[in-house]
Amino acid sequence: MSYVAIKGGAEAIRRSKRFFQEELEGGAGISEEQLRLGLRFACDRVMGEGALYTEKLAAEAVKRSGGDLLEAAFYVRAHRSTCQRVGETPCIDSTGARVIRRISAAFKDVAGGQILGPSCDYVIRLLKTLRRDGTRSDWEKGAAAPPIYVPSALAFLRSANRVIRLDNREAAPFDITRFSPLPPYPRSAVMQTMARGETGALLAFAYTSMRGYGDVHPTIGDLRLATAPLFFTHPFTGKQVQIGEIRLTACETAGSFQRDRRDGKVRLSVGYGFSFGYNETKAIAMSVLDLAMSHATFSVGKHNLAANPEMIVHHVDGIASMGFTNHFKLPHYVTFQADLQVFHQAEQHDQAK
Amino acid sequence: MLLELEAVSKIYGIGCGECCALTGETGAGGAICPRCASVVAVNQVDLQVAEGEVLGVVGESGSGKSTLLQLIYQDQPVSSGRIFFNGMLDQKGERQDILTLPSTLKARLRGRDMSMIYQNPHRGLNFNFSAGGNIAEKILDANERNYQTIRSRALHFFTKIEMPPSRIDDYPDAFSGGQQQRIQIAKALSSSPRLLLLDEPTTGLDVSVQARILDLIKALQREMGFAMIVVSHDLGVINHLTDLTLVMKNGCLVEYGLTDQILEDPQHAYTQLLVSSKL
Amino acid sequence: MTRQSDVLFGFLDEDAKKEIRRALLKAVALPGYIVPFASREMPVARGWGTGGLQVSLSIITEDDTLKVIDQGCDGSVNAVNIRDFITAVTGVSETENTTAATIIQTRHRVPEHQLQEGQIMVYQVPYPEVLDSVEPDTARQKEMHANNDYAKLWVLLYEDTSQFGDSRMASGYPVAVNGHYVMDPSPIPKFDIAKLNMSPALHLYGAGREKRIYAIPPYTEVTPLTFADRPFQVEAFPGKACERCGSSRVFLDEVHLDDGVHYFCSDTFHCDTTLDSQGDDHAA
Repeated sequence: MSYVAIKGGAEAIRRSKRFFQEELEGGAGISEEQLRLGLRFACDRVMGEGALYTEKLAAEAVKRSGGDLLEAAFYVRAHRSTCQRVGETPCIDSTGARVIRRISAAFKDVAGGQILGPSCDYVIRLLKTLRRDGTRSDWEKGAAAPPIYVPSALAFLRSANRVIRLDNREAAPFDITRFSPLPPYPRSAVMQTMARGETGALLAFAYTSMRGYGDVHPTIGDLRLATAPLFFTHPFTGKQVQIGEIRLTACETAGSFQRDRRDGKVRLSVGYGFSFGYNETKAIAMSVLDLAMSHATFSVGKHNLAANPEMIVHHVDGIASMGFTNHFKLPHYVTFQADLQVFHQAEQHDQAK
Repeated sequence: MLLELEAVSKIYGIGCGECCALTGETGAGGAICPRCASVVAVNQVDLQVAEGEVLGVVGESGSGKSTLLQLIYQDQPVSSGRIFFNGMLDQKGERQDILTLPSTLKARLRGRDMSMIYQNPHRGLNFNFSAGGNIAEKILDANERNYQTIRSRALHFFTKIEMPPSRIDDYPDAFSGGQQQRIQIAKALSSSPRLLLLDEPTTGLDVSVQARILDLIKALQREMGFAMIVVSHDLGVINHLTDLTLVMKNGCLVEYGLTDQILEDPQHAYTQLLVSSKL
Repeated sequence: MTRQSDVLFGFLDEDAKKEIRRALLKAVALPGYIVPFASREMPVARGWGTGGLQVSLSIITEDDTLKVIDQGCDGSVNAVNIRDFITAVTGVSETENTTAATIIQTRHRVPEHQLQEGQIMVYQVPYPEVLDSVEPDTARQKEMHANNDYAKLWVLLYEDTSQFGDSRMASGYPVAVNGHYVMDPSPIPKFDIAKLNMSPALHLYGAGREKRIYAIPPYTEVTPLTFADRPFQVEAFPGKACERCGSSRVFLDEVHLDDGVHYFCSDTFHCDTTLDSQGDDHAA
């Protein structure tokens, strides 16, 4: 038997890529608009995890990746690297945004009302028909409603000084796209990492906290789907001008009450979560993690997984974890061969005894 | 007798049935079985401790003295042998091997009748509970359900260990290493145990702190009258605290007697070595 | 009402129901003891009452009358949704009347009306394991239950009492059932705990996500974990009454509106009946 060095990688790769395209050919007719509107939540998730607000490119990425959303977010993140950075916009205030949905689980009714808005929460997830008569609903599309602005449902507790305010030791928000954060991690860096974190990863970590490895019994204080204007300082006039708007999901979650470190008074702990587009699961999970990390005390388990920024900051990015997991498909025969040699030596050592 | 051990052994490894015989005091391979390479940490130890007696256990590192303590406190399962504790009787009123007790009674024994003070306070204290909570846990173990009684009992023991009452709600992290040892002592004693086990209680603390803690333990023992087994590699600690001493080597008991006598006039060659190597 | 659905009566297949009923029987035989069960995926999301739903669907018969409440309210979205689903797959009649219902599925409340013999309360449970807050390890938890070892819960109670004056556990307060197992009564307020003690009704608890079932049989002693010298303090609304019906010795919802805080009955059926009886008084 003669030895054949495996070469010709270039041709193999070219064919493999074409094969992949052929696999997805059946969907060639799906338009960007169909994806953007019909698979909105997929696209929103991709925007969030891709860390770039771009509905069109997110739809394109979903299509290119054949619906593999980790892969699609990766496309967007890679595209992000090619975008020229012009400057920073002022912070968005999600409590001042125009809402289409705003609920509070903490109160039966709140100032501004419970606005259910579009939600699948109460959909019976049945692939069979539940009602044989086939009626869907008595929904009639009404005239466009006037814009709704409501304060946070926790605003009254905050104005009564009953919510713990975290010490803000940061002069300006950290920018994780420019610098790699080091411990002790600034809260802004942790929040940014989570805001572009993978939904499932955030969910899993948050779930450990609510399931007993932590003491976060979260109550959703204010969860909203909203549209917020985006401002930018005009380079010549120096004035702030609106340059567009973004859809967002924001969540404020109340945890247990604790002693405020500032004055020793008992106050409520609150966590915050945010996502581009509509992604309630992610925003809630993020707010629970913020709560677990920002209010980690002995009584809620300082050493739990979800309360440890070291654990969260390095393990929630989907692009990083997916990339690394898949890299194990690359050839590793040099390292494995080295492993085997050591293994063999150990065997010999055993036999010599 | 308060505590009696009969041929208690602890073997780590697969065990071949002859481990104990092939190892021990005179075994060529020390505590390692030449046939199956298992480690015999405690080798058929017989021991009796009377009520109120203070016993020291010495031996070099690896001699099995800490393991022996853990077997008594049931932190580890015993490989073979029997352990009796005064008052633990079976249904016929005969004394019962505590290793065969149902788990509720075992828990009661650990919670109420015995206490252990570990070298590492992380083993003895729950760092998610306050100092007072840690002490309260032991009092609750003894079935007290009156808050004021628990609180004042916890405060009583907290001040006994010379800590200011204002710090009782602080968490263990906020205390120094010596203070954490004191809190362990307060916790251990708060159930009024009949037997206190101490595993290198002052190792790692600086000398002045060590001396104060040893004085404290001694004073509390005189006051409350519980029996103690003190494990230490430090003959100074043993000399300071104990009346009786036993010497362990390779998991075996090699010498037993009055502490003064053993330190002044050791009989066994190994004990002579230990005593002479003392700085 | 007749069944108008393509799915089976009670949605679940008969084997699933049998399994759940067996778990329920065991739970009733061992009051407060947590029984694992397989827990099917339901067409509503985990955490939205799938445990209660499975319990209800396995015990329901054509003759039953169903009431569903969420936070005490029949009209709450989740209650409406679950009631719609159960009636659609069973065709049983529904009611808001606490005394007329044979099965009452609930989330977070026990109705204000005294429950009767023969009635079954079905609770939706998020955290079935009362020891989770002090010991997350499942194997250790089982051991602690078996040994009746709740010292860690008591320490938690001690910690809260010494630092905050009382337990910080507001809902789902730990209760000892029949003098042995300590259980989580689901996140009902402390106000409702007394209604469980020696209750003539059967109380069934279903945790779908955690795959656990437990129960309190009728006329069983249920006592909250409290220190002997500390009274069990329940939620109180001093000086407040329902702004709709005037009831004061009930659990009140605090409603924050633009013009301030308002108080209303949490139990909407209780509120309606109180209001009706006042109407009668006026007529008379």
